[in-house]
Amino acid sequence: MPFIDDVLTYKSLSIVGLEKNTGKTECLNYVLGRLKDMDKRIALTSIGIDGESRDIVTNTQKPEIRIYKGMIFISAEKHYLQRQITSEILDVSNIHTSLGRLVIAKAISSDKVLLSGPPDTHCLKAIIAEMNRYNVDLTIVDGALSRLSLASPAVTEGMVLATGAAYSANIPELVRKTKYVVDLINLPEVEPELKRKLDFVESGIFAVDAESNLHDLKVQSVFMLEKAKDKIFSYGNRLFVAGATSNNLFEFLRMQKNMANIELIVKDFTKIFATPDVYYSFVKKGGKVRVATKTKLAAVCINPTSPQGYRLSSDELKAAMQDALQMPVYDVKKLK
Amino acid sequence: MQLKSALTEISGLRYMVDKLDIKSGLGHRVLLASPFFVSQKDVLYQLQQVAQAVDAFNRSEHKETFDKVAIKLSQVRDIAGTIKNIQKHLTLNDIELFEVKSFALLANEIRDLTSSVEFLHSKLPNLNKVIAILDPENTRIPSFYINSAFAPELTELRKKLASVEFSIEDLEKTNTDSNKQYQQSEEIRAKITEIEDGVRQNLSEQLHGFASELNEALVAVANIDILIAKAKQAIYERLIMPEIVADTTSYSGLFYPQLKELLELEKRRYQPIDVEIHKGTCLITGANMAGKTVLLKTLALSQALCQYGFFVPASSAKIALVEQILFSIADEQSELSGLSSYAAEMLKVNQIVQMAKKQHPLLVLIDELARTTNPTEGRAIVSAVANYLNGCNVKAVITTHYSGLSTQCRKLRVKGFIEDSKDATITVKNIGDYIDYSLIDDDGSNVPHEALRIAQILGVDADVISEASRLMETNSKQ
Repeated sequence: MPFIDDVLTYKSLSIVGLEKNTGKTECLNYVLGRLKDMDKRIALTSIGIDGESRDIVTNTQKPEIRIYKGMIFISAEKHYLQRQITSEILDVSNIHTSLGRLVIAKAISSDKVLLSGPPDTHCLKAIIAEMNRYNVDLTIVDGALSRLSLASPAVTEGMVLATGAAYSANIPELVRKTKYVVDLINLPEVEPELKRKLDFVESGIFAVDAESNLHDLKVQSVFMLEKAKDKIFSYGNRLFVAGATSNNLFEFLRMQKNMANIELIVKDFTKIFATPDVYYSFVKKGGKVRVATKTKLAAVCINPTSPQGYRLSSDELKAAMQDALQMPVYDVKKLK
Repeated sequence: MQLKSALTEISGLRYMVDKLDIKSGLGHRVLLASPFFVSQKDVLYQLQQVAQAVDAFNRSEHKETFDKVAIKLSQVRDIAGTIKNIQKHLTLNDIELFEVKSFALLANEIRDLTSSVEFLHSKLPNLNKVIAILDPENTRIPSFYINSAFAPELTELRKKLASVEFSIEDLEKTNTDSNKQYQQSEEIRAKITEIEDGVRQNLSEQLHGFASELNEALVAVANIDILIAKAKQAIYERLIMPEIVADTTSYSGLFYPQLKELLELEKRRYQPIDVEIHKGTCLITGANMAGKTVLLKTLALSQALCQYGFFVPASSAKIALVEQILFSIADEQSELSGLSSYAAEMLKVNQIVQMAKKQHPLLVLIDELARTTNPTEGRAIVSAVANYLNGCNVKAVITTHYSGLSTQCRKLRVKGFIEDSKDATITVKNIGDYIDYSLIDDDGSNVPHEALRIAQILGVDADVISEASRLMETNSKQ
């Protein structure tokens, strides 16, 4: 059973797709289907809405998420009341979303459900922690890598990445684009002492000195960095950006004299929105990037079919991907 | 006025409310909706409740009870909306039924826990009958779904549905036509939904009979939360129960909790005040920085706390109830309304006079009346307002720097600089230690002239100070 044993070593796991229709839901259904026969307590939630039976954007058939008897799932009030599954409400949390409060429930039957979940990273962490109350062994987060989601899936211990023809219909390009995301996921984490400090910072740009102290640069956004140029490197060469980082920031840093010693720290890999060319030219010149929260990549799944009808060769894609990533890659459709 | 609106009006009140250790959102909502009690019976009832809570909380044998109740209170959810739906004969959905069940279980647990604290225990109705409706198997677990205990036929139908679904999956795997099974599953689902809806209707109907008990319990749980928080605050902040009297309000050891805490943090002295407020007007004079504004704020705060059912910050207090607290305090912002500070003040004072005219019992507090206009007319305004209010059914306290006022009303003065402090090195930081904040009777003929001395302590340029002193001397010679 590919990668299931690995998955079980984590307390929390997110399954994210690089694009809609990259096979995330099939991947999730595969994992849940395998876990159902194991003597493990599983909880499931989502960031953002998921589980619609048809994809609203492309109007393609989308597999629903199938939950098995005994599993715990979390969904907002509106979706909970629309469910078909027979389930028992364990608690109604204080976390509010646009679809109502989050309901924590246990599946009494096995059926398909509509999932929705915590609106931001803070609530997501709280919900994962809350699952301890119900003796949950593994919490699975149906995730999204999107600027639109305020909740970052990177707070889970492990991650499964779904990629496929919907992301790019050209094998070399698809491999390159996926490799970039994998490189970001594998960025090293900062030392524990600094991590503890960074976990409490939600916004702002800081210089980090050799003793891991944070110095607020009082810069509103990375677009204003030019103005704080003199201050940035007055405490050393480390810079922590709590929010999103774009091409501008990477280009700005690349052009600095002390370039080779610069270390950029971000909250987690989802906060990097630079394009691959800009990112790699920063790294090639010696720039270092580290994250405050790192997630471990458990597996990469591919979906060779795109909603526009492209169908790549599964074997060819898998081989190319494995070669580039140096880790096992699975075709979700063939995982049975 | 509800406590919620008073928070922005009466300074220091938000500090007291924020410091309350209320455990539930429900408690917060009910607290903020507290009315300003005006009848002696209501205020006394509120205060006696707090007194009972303080007494119970102070007894060591109840410590464990209060700890356990606190945990239960923090789990309580506000189900006011759901109760409204029950009253309106609406059918509740599963989430609402869950809320009612878990609330009823929690309320009964709190009821059991408080069995040794009679006045709390007796507030809570027994919700056993509600629990029995929603927990027919008597598991006492708050989780909820429509199981076969509500409708035995569900067991069979759900089993059947599962097996049909299973066969659909099997057929789909082999690409065999599953239309028949699909239809069958839809039919079973429809039947299940119908039965479940019937159960929801039935449960909602049964709960309708207990709507008032549920409401009573909800208010009781909120009040228990509020009372425990008020009692804890009274003990921690050293607040006391005021005596409610008919005529003269009097305090000894009155203090402003926020300022007292701040000074204590800096290890500095806080001087509580003794004061009596009779019907009519009382004029207060005193040097700058002598605490006149704080005194007015403390009087407003204490009166408000009392009439919202809190203990008050003093070592003893007799309070005459009023219908409203009205004040004009210097730091109010008027720029935004486009009025000069003088215009804004006059409009405010006029409002107060209009209210006083109706002969309602009021507490009126005016800080440095007419301070922003010329002293000749200012004096006349202060005298006129003081004289007018003196004849109304109000307790008015007006601070002023004007001397030689033509009024017969009562006058007090803040003692001000301690005499033997003349030689001490007084700075902006320690100035408070050299001021005696106590109030003494005064004829008002001579107000303290310490403005220059204080300006000097504040570090105002010596050229200005010496020129001012010279002018003062020339004036007095003339």
